[in-house]
Amino acid sequence: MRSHISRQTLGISGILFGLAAAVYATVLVLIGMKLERAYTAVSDFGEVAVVLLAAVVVLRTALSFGKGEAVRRYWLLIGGAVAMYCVGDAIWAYVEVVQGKDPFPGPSDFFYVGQYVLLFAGVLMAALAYRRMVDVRAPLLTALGVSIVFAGVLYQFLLKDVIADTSTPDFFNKGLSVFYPLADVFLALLPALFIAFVAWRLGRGSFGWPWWPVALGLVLLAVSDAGFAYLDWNELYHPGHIVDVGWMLTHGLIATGALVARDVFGVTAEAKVGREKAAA
Amino acid sequence: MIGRLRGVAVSLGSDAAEILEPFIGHTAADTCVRATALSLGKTYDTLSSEDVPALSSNVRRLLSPIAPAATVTAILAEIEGRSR
Repeated sequence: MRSHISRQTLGISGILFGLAAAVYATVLVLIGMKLERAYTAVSDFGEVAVVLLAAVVVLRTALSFGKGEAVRRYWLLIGGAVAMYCVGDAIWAYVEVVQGKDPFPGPSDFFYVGQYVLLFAGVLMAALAYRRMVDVRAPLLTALGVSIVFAGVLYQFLLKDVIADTSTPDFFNKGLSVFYPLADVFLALLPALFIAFVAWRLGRGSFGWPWWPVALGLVLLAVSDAGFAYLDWNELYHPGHIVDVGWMLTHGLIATGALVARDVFGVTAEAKVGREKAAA
Repeated sequence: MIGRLRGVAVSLGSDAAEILEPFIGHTAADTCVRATALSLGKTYDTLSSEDVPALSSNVRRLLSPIAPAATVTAILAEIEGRSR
């Protein structure tokens, strides 16, 4: 029984990233044609489509594991997080494209915040599951230290101005404007680094493979979201900016991690056929 | 010791570590087997077929939080098969 990456994983990941690329390319073309409503619609609803597919992949992976198993619990949390983001994105798209209103702050934020919480819980649980096998204290402390440094940088270049700004009287608006960058660091970047450092301790062990794309996805989430917050605050953001791709790639990578998990645990059809042939 | 194979000494310990290594890496696999040996008052190289239940129990305990039951069972079946 040896792990390998299946054709199904490569195919579905290809579809996810291909769809993300197609959405972004279409948005760039529509921006060039100065069709604002069209590129906003394609950008918003295109992202919903990519994240929806990612959510289905991750949840399907979680449900392929037995009831009561630890792996099912933390992949369900991660899948739930992706699903929450999808719902948030759908609401955002509806408000922005159909109603023509500014979606921030709004109902979608409940789901975006929920995504951060579930992602943090799921990835943290997964990383701690390795504690009987490898030392997890050093990875956790290292991840925490790096995150604190990034939080300091974020405070210096963004948060202190957001907090000091008096032109935003709405407490909810300001609260979210401070929450998201901090969540990027402590609820996305920190667990990403933690699980990456834990997976590193497994060397080439295949049970660590799923966590590399998941960790990269969370780092991308942190960078994209914090990057967007910085650009938006400094009025440097424009539609079609490269950060727009970040959210789609994030969820594509998380879904890829789920697909790799199915491969390494031998739950794919290819693996089953391989085992049957080996047994014959 | 289990026996000799083509002049090379093989043991339950080395077999189990070899089977576990592709999944959890060399260090973790080695640590798992050595920890089991230590708990039985033995060394890595003196684990024998009578220690398979203890080794299986320890491996299952380590792998259950990170892998599905069917996968863990398949790995243990490979270890137990190699010990015969």
